[in-house]
Amino acid sequence: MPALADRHSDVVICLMAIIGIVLFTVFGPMQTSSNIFYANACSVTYRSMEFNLGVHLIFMYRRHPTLTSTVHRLFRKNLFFVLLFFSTLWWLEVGQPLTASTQTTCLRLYFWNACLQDHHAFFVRGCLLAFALLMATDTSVSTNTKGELQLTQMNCTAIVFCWLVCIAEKMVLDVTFGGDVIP
Amino acid sequence: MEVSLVSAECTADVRSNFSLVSGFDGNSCDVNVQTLLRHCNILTILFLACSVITFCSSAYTGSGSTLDAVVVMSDVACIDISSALFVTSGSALAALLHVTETVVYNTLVHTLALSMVLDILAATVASVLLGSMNALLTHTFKWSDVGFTVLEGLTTLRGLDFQQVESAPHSYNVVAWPVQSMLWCILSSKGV
Repeated sequence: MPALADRHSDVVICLMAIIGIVLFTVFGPMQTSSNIFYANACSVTYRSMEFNLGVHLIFMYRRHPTLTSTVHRLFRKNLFFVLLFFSTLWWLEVGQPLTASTQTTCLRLYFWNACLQDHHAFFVRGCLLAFALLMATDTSVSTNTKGELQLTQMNCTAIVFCWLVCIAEKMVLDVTFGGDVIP
Repeated sequence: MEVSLVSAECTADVRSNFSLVSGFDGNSCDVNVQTLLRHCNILTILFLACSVITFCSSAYTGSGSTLDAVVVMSDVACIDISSALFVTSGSALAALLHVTETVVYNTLVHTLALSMVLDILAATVASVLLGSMNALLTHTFKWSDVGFTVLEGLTTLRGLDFQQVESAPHSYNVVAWPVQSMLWCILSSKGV
């Protein structure tokens, strides 16, 4: 039994991480008029599940070398098509009419956002994109990790302050030119 | 062709070590951490672009916007990208933990976490000021929003905003959640 657990425990842990994400993906769009998607999309509890999945993927990457090398080759060759698929998926939504209302409960990321349709809110799709990116990553030795980490720090700062910059700019334009000129 | 050679070499190397140590075992077939971090940075920049498009839509500015045609696209992309970002970050940090020494990793994580905390605290103060001014201008000011923004900034926990009704409190700095959640993920990464 301990030997069996040693052999398959990583698969079980990874499956549990995936099942948790799939459950949120299924129940959110199923209950479009509930707060399930809204409450979990930005929640630290759900996002830490995705983060843990990423950690487990690296563990699996090293633990199953034969499978990894096969999948690695497959995704290295076909990453372009994966990215094309996602670009097409997003491009299809151009021109969709907005249904923004703060009075209704619907699928959306933030309170002020437009309501989305059920097929828009799929967490698993993003996880598949991450899996494709991970599997297409080369295996050469890193040369400038510190530089990338510095860029990560700057990006985090940009995310935290982007709403503030937008709102400050909007208020300056509002005060200077009046509300009608801004759009 | 080169990729195949690398993968085959990698496979053989792991196989030879696998019988001795199961799990993370130190060999030449690590994923390139720099590339993984670059993927994270690209996804972060895309997320940022999508968020800015959302803020420029009529739902936020209050009047018709020419960007409304691409707002649904940016919202959908934002959901996919944020999920990909968290999974890729988990992979990047796990790979980084493996290829660097524990002391170096701890230093890197502490520096990153400290920078995030300072950013969040500074943004919270600015959010309360600017958010309140904007809410007063748009006649949507609520004291509960101010309290909620402060509470969220101090605890860096985005998990309390679970109701869409207008009377429920909502944070002013709506887009800070990836950094807030990432902070807890980074701090717990070594344990995971």
